[in-house]
Amino acid sequence: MGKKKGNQSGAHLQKKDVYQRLNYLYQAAHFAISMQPMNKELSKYYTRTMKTLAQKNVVRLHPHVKRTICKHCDLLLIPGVTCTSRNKGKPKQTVVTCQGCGTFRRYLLNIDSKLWHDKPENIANVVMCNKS
Amino acid sequence: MEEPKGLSFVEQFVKEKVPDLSEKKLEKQLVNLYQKPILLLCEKSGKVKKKKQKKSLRQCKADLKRALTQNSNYAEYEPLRKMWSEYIREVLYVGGKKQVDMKMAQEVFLKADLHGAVISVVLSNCKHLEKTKGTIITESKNMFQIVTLKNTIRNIPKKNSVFEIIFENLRVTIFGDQFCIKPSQRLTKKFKNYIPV
Ligand SMILES: [Zn+2]
Repeated sequence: MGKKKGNQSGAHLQKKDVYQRLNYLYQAAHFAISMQPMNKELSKYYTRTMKTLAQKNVVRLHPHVKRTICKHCDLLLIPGVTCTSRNKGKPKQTVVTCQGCGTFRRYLLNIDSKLWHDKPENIANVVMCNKS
Repeated sequence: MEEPKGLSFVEQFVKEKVPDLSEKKLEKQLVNLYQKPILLLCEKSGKVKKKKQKKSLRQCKADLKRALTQNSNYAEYEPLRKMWSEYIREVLYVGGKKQVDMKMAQEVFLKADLHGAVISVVLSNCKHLEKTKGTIITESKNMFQIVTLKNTIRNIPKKNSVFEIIFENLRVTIFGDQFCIKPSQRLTKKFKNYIPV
């Protein structure tokens, strides 16, 4: 889920343990949402520790991961379950509204523009995490 | 989706969206849910809303506590345990090795995430806390919160107690006195003198 990319030369990834832990916490937050009476507070707790962990170790979250976390209350945003996402506005934009606290963010819908992380020339090398 | 799961989701959804109904009425309406339509709460489309203030940390903790006490079922946390064992296996066996160095394992368990681990208390100052067993859900600076086998939630102080984690054929003992750090800061801190695990 959390993407692992290394910009260093050589295949060895620095701070690998941090990335693994972040990945685990992100999955745990998904688990807390999927529990039968939905446990929002527990998933908030996991995302909050994930955020602080990334802050302390000076690691940046991938923008696709970052956009699934509410800026205001740290709720994990899954469209249809904990947030609504609509396309509207004159320059077309997607509006993602958190159902926990009601804050919203807009993202421009432009086919030509891409995120810096998504452009193929900016990816130095991709490190695969080995599966055992 | 299976039937019982789907039903409970509907119940929860209705409870959230229907404006104040007494519980008896709600039950009646849920019984003949498929025959009669239910009036859902219509949210007023937006004029300027006041921006809510951020919750204080104290309130967040109180909410967490309330949410945890509501679902304290040991069986519900089964996927978390499964996920944790997969995660630890991935951390331990680096590069396809099958054997584990004991020195490596020490460092791994000091730095790894412990949410979802099965833990048991070996020694403690409180006698009645000894021999409790369960999975860790949340971890704070001085406390572990675990779900026990009897479907209850226990707070266990880290200080003056010794814990034990059993993973496959590894048995790790943790001395609580050295563990009194927030889980998010444990990675950066360096442990000066290891006590042999
Ligand atoms: Zn929110």
